[in-house]
Amino acid sequence: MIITRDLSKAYQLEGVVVNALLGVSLEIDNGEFVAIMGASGSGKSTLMNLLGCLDSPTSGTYELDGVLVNGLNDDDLALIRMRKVGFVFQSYNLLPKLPAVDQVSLPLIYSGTPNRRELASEALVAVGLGDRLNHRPTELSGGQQQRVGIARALVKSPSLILADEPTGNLDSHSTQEILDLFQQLNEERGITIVLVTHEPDVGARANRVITMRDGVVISDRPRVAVAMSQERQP
Amino acid sequence: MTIDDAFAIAFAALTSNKLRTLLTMLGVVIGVSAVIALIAVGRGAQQQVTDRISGLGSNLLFIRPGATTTGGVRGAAGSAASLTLNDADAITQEVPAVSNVAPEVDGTAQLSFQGQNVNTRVVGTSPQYQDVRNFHPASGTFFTDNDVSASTPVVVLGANVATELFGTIDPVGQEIRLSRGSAALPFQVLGVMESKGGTALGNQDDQVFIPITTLVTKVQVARTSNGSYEISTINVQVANANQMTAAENDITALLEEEHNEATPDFTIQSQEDTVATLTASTRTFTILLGSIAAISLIVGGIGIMNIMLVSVTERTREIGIRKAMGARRQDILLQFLVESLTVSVLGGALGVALGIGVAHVANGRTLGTETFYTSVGTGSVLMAFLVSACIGVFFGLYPAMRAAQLNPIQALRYE
Repeated sequence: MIITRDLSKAYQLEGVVVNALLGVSLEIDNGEFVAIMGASGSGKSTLMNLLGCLDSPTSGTYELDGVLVNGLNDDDLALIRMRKVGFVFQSYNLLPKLPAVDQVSLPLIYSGTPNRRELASEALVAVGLGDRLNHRPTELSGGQQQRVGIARALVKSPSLILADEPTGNLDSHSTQEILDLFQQLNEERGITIVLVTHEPDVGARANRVITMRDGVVISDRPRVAVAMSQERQP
Repeated sequence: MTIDDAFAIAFAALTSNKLRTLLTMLGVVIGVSAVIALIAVGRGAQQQVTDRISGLGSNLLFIRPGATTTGGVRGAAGSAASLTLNDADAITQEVPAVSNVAPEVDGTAQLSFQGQNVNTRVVGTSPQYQDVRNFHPASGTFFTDNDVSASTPVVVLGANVATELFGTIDPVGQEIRLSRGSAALPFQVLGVMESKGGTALGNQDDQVFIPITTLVTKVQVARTSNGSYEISTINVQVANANQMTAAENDITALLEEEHNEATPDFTIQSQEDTVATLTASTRTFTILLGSIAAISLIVGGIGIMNIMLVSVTERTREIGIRKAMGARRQDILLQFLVESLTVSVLGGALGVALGIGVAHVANGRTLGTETFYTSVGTGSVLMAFLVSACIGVFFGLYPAMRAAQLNPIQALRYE
């Protein structure tokens, strides 16, 4: 359960104050599949970083699963990331040279979980890479690398997976496969998925679409409504 | 993150760039091995000095004139101003703990034989010198007490002097001329001393021995005002090691009574004192060598720091990923500290092995005119190793802290 109230973030960029986020209030229930859409500079990545506890807001509150996150120090934020949040990145962000199973067990090192290899193998099987356990990133296709990334987000059984343009580097076939995978994880495991994208057809796979512009939410609609409004437009 | 994980990550990172790791390690290897090898050289020199002084003989006391007379400043007329032959006789007769007394006067002279000549140190002494200093002729004989009482012109040559003057001719029985100033006297060669080599007290083979009476009456006359002969050292051997203190006290009392001076005009130095003095100076030498080597160890540490900083920059993205996965500051700090510690400890271990090896190979080797003797001390090995570990932590700390404090968002965006 994500609750934000008037969440704002301002940066100092070479002496100039940039208001990346201006009072975003959202509620996302457990088990939702949400797409955040918007042009670049709309503040969607900033929102993502705040939701993922990579950053602290300038003002406003953020509550994740009943824990008030703003005001926590770096190490406490790291603990929340470790326990609750799985990240999937546009450029996969796998470590070079490491075999898939080690990539996936990486988060478990920091949580001190035992039998890391087993859990990592299970996660890789779940994303359909059961036969690629010892392949290194250079030996995998883009889609496969992103699957490793998803397995890595999945392995610690997070309540929330945040995916930042996860299909941005993929062809349409791989994009569909990855989106299918997200949908499957959302439906079968009840994991909340928040997906940032600027591609409408990717956003259309979510159950709810939040659109942003200039640091504020300009629309927040369930999928059906989005589809209808698109049909009316042509 | 457990320490095992930290070591596993460090090992993977270090082996992924083997050449760089080896070169970084090399700085520490050289530093540690230099410290160990140079301290071994210093300690070897120290041991050498101690051994040679012990080799002079055992249970020795050296009595020398006090500072008040060495500058040529005499006391009041009629007082005995320095050590004399009479003092040596008195010690022989009155101090029971003493087994041998060898008075000694040192001078210089030119020796010549068939056109060859050599300037050398001339030691005037008594036959007891052989036992006191544990120094005997290798061929021929030493002079006797009769030669001393009759002031016979006889000489025993040091090994080097014999070689320089006679070459391949057997010197024993030959006649040489000994000249000092305008005087030139014929001396008969009685024998050649065994070779003892150099010590911290001078080269024992570069001197000749003549009866002390011959020296002070015919070659280098130095009478004191009361008619006795001034001498430079009285070498005393005490019969038993546990009587050293008693003998020293007896001699002091005796000489003070004989000389009747307000302040003692002589000093008594035991063999142990000499060893202690020289050990102190060679220890300084050892510390100096060790410090020079320690500088290279510090340079090695700076090398580690340099590479760790490069490594942190190169792996900024990796650090960002790890942080996003839930790594805390301390996890990142530990990861990089363990990495630099591994480099320095492995380098330290290799350096210890190399240092011991170099010391072992150098032992007994001659470089120019110097022969090296080395002695590896466990203390210096342990110290060098511990210091290398500390260097890993010290120089690794700053890069590790930089890594730990990286902002995860910026680190993830880093290209």
